[in-house]
Amino acid sequence: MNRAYFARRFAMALFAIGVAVVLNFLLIHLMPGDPAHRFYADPRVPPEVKEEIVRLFGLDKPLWTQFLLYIRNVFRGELGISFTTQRPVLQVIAERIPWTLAITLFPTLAAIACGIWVGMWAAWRRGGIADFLLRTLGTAASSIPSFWLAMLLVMVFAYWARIFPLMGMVKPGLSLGERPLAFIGSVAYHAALPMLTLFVLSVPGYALAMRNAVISILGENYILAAQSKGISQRTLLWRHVLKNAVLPLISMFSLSLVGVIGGAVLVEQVFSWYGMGLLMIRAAQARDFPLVQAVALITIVLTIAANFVADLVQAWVDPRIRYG
Amino acid sequence: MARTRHPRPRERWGKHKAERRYLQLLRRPAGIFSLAFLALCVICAIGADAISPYDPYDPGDKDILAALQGPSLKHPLGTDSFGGDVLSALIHGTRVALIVGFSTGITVPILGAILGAVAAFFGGGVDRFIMFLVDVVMVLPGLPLMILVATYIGGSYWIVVVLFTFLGWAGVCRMVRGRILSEKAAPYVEAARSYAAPWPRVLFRHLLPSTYPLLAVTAARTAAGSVLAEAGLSFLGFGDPLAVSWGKMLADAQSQGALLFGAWWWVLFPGLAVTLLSLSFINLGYALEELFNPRLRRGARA
Repeated sequence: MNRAYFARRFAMALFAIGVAVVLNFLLIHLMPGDPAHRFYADPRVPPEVKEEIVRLFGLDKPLWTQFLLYIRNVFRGELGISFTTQRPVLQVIAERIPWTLAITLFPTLAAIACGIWVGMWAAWRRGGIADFLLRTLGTAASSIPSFWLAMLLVMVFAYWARIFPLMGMVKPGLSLGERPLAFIGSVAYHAALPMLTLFVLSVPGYALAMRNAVISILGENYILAAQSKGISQRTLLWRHVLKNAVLPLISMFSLSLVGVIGGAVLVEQVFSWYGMGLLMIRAAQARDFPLVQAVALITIVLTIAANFVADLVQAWVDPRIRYG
Repeated sequence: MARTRHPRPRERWGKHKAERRYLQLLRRPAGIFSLAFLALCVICAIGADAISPYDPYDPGDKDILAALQGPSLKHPLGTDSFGGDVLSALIHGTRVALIVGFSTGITVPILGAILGAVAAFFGGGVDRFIMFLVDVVMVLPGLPLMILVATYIGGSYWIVVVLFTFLGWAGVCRMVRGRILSEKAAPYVEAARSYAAPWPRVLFRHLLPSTYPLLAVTAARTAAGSVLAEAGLSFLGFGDPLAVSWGKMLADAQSQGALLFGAWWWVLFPGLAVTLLSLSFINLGYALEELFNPRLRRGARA
């Protein structure tokens, strides 16, 4: 891998994080009213926590000092104390991350696998019924609001068919420590509908990208050469076409992360799935400013980091990429 | 000597041909459908007060006794938990959706076109800086940012417009830059430069028009995306608390237990409206793309 490429991408990721941090800081201070006053005024905050906040953020010092203090705190991982729970925000957030990962990771991976297969099939029988369905449904899927699809699925599978629970994450009373298998089973049962929503909505995008990539590759000379050797269709598709066709999917995956995160927030709200998204919504409704800010910041940093890694992976598997 | 007009790319589409092409938009069923639905929405948005059978903004105009009732003659699309007419709310909701869709459909392509054109035209450090910003903006997640801003500023659909512009220009910028870079070497640009046309004239009069088709397509796609984003933000409760919007209808349906009572009409119709409007914008984008790029027309578009 090219060192200059790595350096450029790394600088970009750092700068993006910097933009997020500055934006976060500015939002507090551009609001009408004194931030110190707002923190003090909240009756839920006990005095010792207030002192801690003032000390941490330097709220009695000039704006410039506050900014430097803020940067220092961000790098130390001290993102403040939540008003509602009186605990360090980082701790509150760390508890929620696995829940969001659980309902986003599996559907996304499954959607990529499924998209590769469907896209390959549609491209091989270009103009056929599968191709037509894919393109029609693909357009439709990009217009369907994720939360609406989630609500419809709840309506059908939880209200009418009564197969899946209406909402929640796990059967009350179960804990991971006592009966791990039952706990995981219950979580999977509750996660089925949220995962289905995210899966259904992300398949067409990957499938369409795969289809277009495969179609352009099928016109290449090396495919003609392979065909003239008399190899089977299966070998042709899964060995010769696949390798080059999945490359665009990697960059698509990194760009789709932004959408997956938004989708997860909305779907979590529908199912009362208490992950990062619902945490942020509840914090925002309770005007728990440090928590909202920290969730936004961490979400943004995680997205940027994941994009950075995906870029590196792509540069690694595709030597043609030099400077993005 | 007669005044010679310098060649402009715009003249590739003659007036008569253009008229015929616009008619072609109506030949595809998807094109007719999307234009018709958009027209319906515009009519609803303008004449909402005259068309809608009830006033969703008037608490006295709710049929409390007929709360949570399915579609009937009196309420064609049923009622919500306060007896509000779903159809009337849908009609009034077109306003927010269209304002957001059209505003971002205008601001995003304009900002993206200007920055993309400047990057491609000047090259060098300016280009590198702008493309750096593009890469940065592309990875910022929109919805968490919108929630963050809404928490501080208070809910409003203008947040969607501003943040969509702030985040959306990057994609347009990249496309416009690519187009202008490939167009920069064209003979007509050289001709314009050879008689010392000032650079703004070369850029905005000669080069930028070659990106108009691209911008029209982007405008439609951006509108589709922002309609969805606004619905999402309103659904989470960060929309305008006083305005009736489709996302807010779904939020009310969710929070007041439409799913527990099986009030399918309260969930189905607002979401369908969002989907159809967004789909109409996307289809309009496809149709415009075909209109401007005849090569696509021959492709197997079943």
